[in-house]
Amino acid sequence: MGRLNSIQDLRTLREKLKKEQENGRPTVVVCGGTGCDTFGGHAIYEALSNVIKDKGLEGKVSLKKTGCQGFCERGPLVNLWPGNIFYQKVREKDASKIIDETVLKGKVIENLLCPDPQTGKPVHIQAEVPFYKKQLRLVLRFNGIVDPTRIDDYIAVGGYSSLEKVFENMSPEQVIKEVADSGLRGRGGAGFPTGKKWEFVRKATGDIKYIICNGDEGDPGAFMDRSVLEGNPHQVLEGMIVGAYAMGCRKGYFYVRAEYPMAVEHVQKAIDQARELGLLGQDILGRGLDLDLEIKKGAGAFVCGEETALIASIEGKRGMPRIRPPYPAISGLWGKPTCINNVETLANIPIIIEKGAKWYSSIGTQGSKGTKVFALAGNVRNTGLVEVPMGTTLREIIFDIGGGIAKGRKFKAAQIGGPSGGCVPEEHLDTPIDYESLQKVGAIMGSGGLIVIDDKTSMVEIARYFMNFVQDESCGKCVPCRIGTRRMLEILNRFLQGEGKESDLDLLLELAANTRETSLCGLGQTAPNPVLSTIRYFRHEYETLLKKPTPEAAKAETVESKEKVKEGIEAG
Amino acid sequence: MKKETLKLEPNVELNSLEKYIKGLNHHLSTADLIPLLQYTQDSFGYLPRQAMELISKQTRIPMSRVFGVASFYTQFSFVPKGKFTIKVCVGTACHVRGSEKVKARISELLGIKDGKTTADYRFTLELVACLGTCALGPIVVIGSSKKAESCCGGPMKQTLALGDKFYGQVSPEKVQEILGRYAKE
Repeated sequence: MGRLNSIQDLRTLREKLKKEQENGRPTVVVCGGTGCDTFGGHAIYEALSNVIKDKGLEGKVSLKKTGCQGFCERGPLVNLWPGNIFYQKVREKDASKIIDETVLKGKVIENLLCPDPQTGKPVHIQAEVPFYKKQLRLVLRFNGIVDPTRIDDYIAVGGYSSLEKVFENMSPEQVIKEVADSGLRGRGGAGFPTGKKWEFVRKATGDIKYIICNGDEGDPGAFMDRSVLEGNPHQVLEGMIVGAYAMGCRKGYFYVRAEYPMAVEHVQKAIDQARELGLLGQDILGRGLDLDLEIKKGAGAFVCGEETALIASIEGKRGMPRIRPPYPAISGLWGKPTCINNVETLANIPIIIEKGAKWYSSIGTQGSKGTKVFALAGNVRNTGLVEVPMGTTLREIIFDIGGGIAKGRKFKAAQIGGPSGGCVPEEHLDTPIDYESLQKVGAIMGSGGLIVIDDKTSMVEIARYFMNFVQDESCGKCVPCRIGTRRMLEILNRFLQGEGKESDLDLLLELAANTRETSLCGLGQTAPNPVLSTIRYFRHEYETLLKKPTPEAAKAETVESKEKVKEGIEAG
Repeated sequence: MKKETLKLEPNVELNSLEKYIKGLNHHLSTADLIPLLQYTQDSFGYLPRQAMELISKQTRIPMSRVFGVASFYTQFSFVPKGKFTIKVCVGTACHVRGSEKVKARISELLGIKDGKTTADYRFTLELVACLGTCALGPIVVIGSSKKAESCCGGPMKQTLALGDKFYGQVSPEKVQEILGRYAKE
């Protein structure tokens, strides 16, 4: 495959690849997400490959491994095309049966199907499984269809066609207007309008401008960006190229956590393949756009998700944030105009260009357009990756898609937005998911971590958990965050050790307010949120801890948390 | 974030690092510092002082700043790690499923706190915040901390910890059996 020198070249290649894939060959798809891989997905892939070889079916049956399909709880997952037959909890020994029965004879193996939780009847088709039924998968549309390590697969399903569109029919200004009109807001958590950010960078003056993809997904309990980078890196890459065209960037970086080795590998492959085809490099598709991309691996610091800290880290410094303004759009990496977008934000761009701003903005609510990917985890029955239109309620996500609380326990709270977010109690479960509504109930959209908490978990313990996390991750540059988080952690520890004082609650609230108002960056400003929201909705739990240690049952609990706290103190 | 440093350090062979730096074949700038430290960490399993001095000399970044950057990021360690690194996920999802108890049990069995290495340099215990396999929580990952010897090729390949073994739905009762598999190897 040679370099593509024009838009026509790309079209010709796509047609050719499409024809190759539309050969009617049955295809077996194994989910290659980390969850399924851990359950033994790779072994199943090997087993299937061996069966195909042994039976001389090479060239007659296709086998491929895709990115995360989201339903991690039921892994390893195997999909069969045509028909979209969906097998779950597949074991190595099932390999030959799948080929013999389903692929060759078209017979469905009942006990590998996913049972409907209500009726208990097996569901044949993936789209009909309740977990998938209420979802609207745009960002994740090709996870489960394309092999993330092959650019051919992505091009064949229409990948890089938004590039054709912008090169042929749109000026950079029109691209920015389209993105602005779509209503897309930053998916990293803060929700800044993407179109506006792009416009700032476009208008900024500088001999070189940078575009950075922020994949420093640090929120413990979130794995959306990881799954996108692992499962469909080209969609993000395409978004970056469109952005570079719109803003006039010539150099870009992928900032990916070192803890995500598979994401690093897949992104690197994607960059290499795109470069080989001439979709990156000099004079892309003969349209005069130069862009080169490079991976920067994060070295393990939560604060580097903050844009100015991330820039410092790429520059080879300690990842500490600085005061804004100037915003990176004016003075970012090496003092040059820089656009930093989250992985999911960039993955939305090709969809907006392809389908148009009007179509995109018809999804969602008044102020929040499009879809949002959530990593659903914790004490919920169906753990996994879900993508829903904005405006879906928490109840729908947790109970309809998530299948309710695990082990027959009761729902207590949903923690949304990670260490910067808050806990939403049962009475607010019908809150629609959008930036403003979540803020009203004391949580934030955040990057998409959604942890379900059942009734046996102490909310004070949850607050302590997050405070311990941010206290450890505070970079130490500004005093309110460095000292404020430490003091709050100490007070929470006191509560859990049964040594809390009456005045501690007020002190906690005061410290929280001060830290929020005076910290330098988002980490400190949002660090008190878990404390504030647990006090707001579960004040009684704090107060019960003050009355201890009288009741027997509570005593047992305290002993346990005492041990935990002790360990925490010793370790910290 | 406290970090330990070695008082007495064994001599380390720096040839591979020197060769690597030469092979980069471009004018080194501050932007190369973190990738170089990552390479060193992956090849030696920690950051030997001599290696940091070499990097400082080659990049013309003062040693104080090299140390400042290295001590900031959790990926870097100034003491050698054990043959096997045990990572216990303490992300929120694992936390609510009881990862603290798993960690406590491992600590008890090995007699070390998190971040520490056993006296025989067999095990290092680390805590990590989310490995992205929340469905399987609590997660424990055990892998060899030093990969350069077993795998050749570019630096990218060496750091990929794809060979790490994931253990899902670990309970405190399962810990002893899992650790036992690594005790003799």
